[in-house]
Amino acid sequence: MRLIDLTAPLTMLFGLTLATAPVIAQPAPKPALSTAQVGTRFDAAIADAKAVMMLDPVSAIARARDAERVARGLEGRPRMIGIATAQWLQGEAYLRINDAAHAAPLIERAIRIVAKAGPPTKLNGDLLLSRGGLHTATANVASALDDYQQAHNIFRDIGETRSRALALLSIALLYQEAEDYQNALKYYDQALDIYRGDPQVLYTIYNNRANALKELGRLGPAETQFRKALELARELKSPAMEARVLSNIARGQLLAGQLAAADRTISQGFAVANGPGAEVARDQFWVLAANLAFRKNDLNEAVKLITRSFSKVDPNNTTLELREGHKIAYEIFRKAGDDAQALVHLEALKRLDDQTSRLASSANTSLVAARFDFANQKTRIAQLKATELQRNIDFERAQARTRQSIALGLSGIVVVIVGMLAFGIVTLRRSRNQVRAANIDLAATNDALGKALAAKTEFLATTSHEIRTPLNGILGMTQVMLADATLTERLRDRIGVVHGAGITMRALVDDILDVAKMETGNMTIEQIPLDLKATLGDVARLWQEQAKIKGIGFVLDLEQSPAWIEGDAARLRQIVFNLLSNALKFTERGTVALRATAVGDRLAITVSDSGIGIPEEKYDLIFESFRQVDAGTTRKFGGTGLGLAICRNLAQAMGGDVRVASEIGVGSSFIIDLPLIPAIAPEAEAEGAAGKALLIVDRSPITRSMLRAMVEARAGIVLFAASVEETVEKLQSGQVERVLIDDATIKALPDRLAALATIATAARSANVTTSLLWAAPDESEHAGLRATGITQVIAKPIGGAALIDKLYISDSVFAEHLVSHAA
Amino acid sequence: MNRRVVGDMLDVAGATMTGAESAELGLKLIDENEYAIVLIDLRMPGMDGITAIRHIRARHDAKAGLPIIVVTADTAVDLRERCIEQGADEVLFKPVAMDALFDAMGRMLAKAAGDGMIG
Repeated sequence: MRLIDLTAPLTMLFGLTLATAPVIAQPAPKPALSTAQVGTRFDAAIADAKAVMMLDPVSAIARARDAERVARGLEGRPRMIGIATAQWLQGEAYLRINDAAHAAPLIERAIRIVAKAGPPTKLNGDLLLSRGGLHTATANVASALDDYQQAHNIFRDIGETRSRALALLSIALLYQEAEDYQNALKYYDQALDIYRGDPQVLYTIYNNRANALKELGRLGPAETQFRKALELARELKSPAMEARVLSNIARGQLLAGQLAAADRTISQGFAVANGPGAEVARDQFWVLAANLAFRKNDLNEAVKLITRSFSKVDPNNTTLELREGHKIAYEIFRKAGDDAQALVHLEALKRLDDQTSRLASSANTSLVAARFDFANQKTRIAQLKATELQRNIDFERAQARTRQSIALGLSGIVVVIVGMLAFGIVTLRRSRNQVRAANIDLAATNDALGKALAAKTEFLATTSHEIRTPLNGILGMTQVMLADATLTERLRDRIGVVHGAGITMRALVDDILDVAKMETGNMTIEQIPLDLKATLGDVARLWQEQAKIKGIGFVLDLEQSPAWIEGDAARLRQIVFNLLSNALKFTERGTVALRATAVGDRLAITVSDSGIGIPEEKYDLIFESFRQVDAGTTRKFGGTGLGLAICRNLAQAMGGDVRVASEIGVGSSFIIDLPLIPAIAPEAEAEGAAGKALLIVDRSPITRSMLRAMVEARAGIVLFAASVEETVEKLQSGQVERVLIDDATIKALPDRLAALATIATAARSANVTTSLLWAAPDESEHAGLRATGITQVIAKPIGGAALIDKLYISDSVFAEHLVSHAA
Repeated sequence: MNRRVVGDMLDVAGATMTGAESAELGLKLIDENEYAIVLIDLRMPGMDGITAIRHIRARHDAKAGLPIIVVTADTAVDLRERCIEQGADEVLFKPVAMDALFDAMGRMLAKAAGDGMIG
């Protein structure tokens, strides 16, 4: 069931905030006359605008614009506040006529102005509330929540309880929108706790609280709240408000099956909802009346009434308030056998439901994410409190000690001593109590901290886990498909896209998991020798290609880089990979560069780009989990905003940090600072005759891997070939020292002996010995195989050690070779 | 779904696979037939993967030494250790990279060949 009252209270909200908008601040110390005059004119203009805001928003826009012009005649801070106030009013007015396109820039501008005008005032908070409203209207729930939060904190800090309650109310409505009624109730209760002074605010809280209770099935308490709201509506002499509550009550009564009571309420509703502007309300009551008739099984009456409610509306263009109407209409028409009409309403229902479920789920997801951000904030706040508490405890302890020593130090003057001791004991006791209290607080905070952290980590880990399973299906199949050589170019291309997206998803999931691990301290960092130049080169290679495709230059400068250091290669790769990914993402033209140098006993790896740059005030923000420079960045560039948080965490875990320096429009540089511990390069690999390779001919990846594992100890470099052509190619390249052929591959060919002969010839010209694995050949088979020119036939089955023996150690190969030639 | 994915991957490599949708069925199949490698997905109804591994290792015949690869989406920090402790030879995390699967299987076969035979 949708929340029909959602739009109304929000409008009221703006009305409410307007009623107490700040008047201009102190006039500047200038020739009193002119400024006072301008000030008065400004006040008048603002008052004008406010006066017509509720009834005629369009005029209000004009008047607010006048006010802005007047404000520009002022100086200094009053000027800024004045302009911002006027712009805010314009924005509000536009919102009332549902013109978000005009409202948004005005409000943004005003916010920017007041940000520079000094410490936050009520205007700052009001502006944030308005912007929050904008975000809500565009379903950008995370930003809305953020704005409401900030507004709440400002109002709290400056003691504006009423506005604070409004901020809480706005958050509650967000949760209600996302169908999270429990949390919505929490915020309604908070709002009620802190402020009960304004009947309109109370009305809104009671009305919506009641709706939430109703959704949770608590019809009794819901009705109580509705009654309270009704009283207030009557006090305020507002028929519109009364009508709204009455319709809610009637709905609840119908739900509870209290038909007689519902009948009475509906009649009341009709009585109240007359006069102009009440059509929408009256339609609602027609719908309720139709429902009532339907419940009483008076089908004819029901049909009549429901037709009446939709008589002036086009069912294909209805909005959410009529969702309930559609539902009831569908049921009535179906029962009455009018399938055509029933279908019309069913389609309308589906349309509205699609809309709202998208909204609810996006709202829900955003709220969940926002909640974790919020938990993050809470955690951070709690941490700050904890450190502060700790400081307080330490301070109190220190104070207590000083007092003690003062008391003890003064001997000889009894009266003074006694006095001081008494004082010392009293303050000691007080300090001890304070310390104890602070300790309890600290314990509680730590507990809350722990819980919040655990919740977040669990969420992260669970999400990562759940996503991996379907991802296995996606990437598994794309790999299988890409391994099919018969694929057309076009199909291969398309599957490649899916595969690439799957790989990206896996990287994101891995990132999320990493964050979870880091938060719970489950991350282990290795400290072993690594080849820095090679590692950085590897990562650079991955992105060089991408840079070329995007038409951006890529510079890899490892001249000054140390060669071998101690560290965790995988983690270092991860950080550099992330930074390069960002660099390329945010750069359209120019260059991306990767440099490494030693600076004293620290290692500095720099990733710089010529991209859009980062404003200085956001330097710290971007390193926070789930944060990007602004909401637009996610939309434009994608990503979860986790990369930089992970980079910094990893760097810190390695004993260093990641820093940023940037210039808007010019570019950014991210510097990884790490301790530099030089390491000794391990002995160069010895085996394998001077860089030549063993070529394994096998078309099955599993046996390839198996054979390689079996000969690893002796073979040195191992190459593979899956076909005769490939084998010949590799032989001709001169890199091969000997060849090992698997029989299954040969047996799959039409002409086995010819294939073997081809390989043998190519091998002989390259002066390479060929060994063939063959299943238990008998005498004649063996001879036949040797006749093709293969140097050695090794009978299967054979164990690993024996294989190595036959290939490398025993002289039997040459003996056989010599023998056959001699013969 | 996972059996299908793994099955298709093994097709690419030219290997044959028999699937079982529960640990109990799997153990029965191992009883009655010869297999070169066992792949266990930890997400199964009934008996869980780790118990199944213990059962295999507790056998009194040659099959107790069957190479076992665990495939799982669970990324708990100590999961890999736990599996290997209980007798698994290798643990692969979903989403499974096909090459990693083939590599692991090959290495396991090589090890088996070290004591036994390839054929």
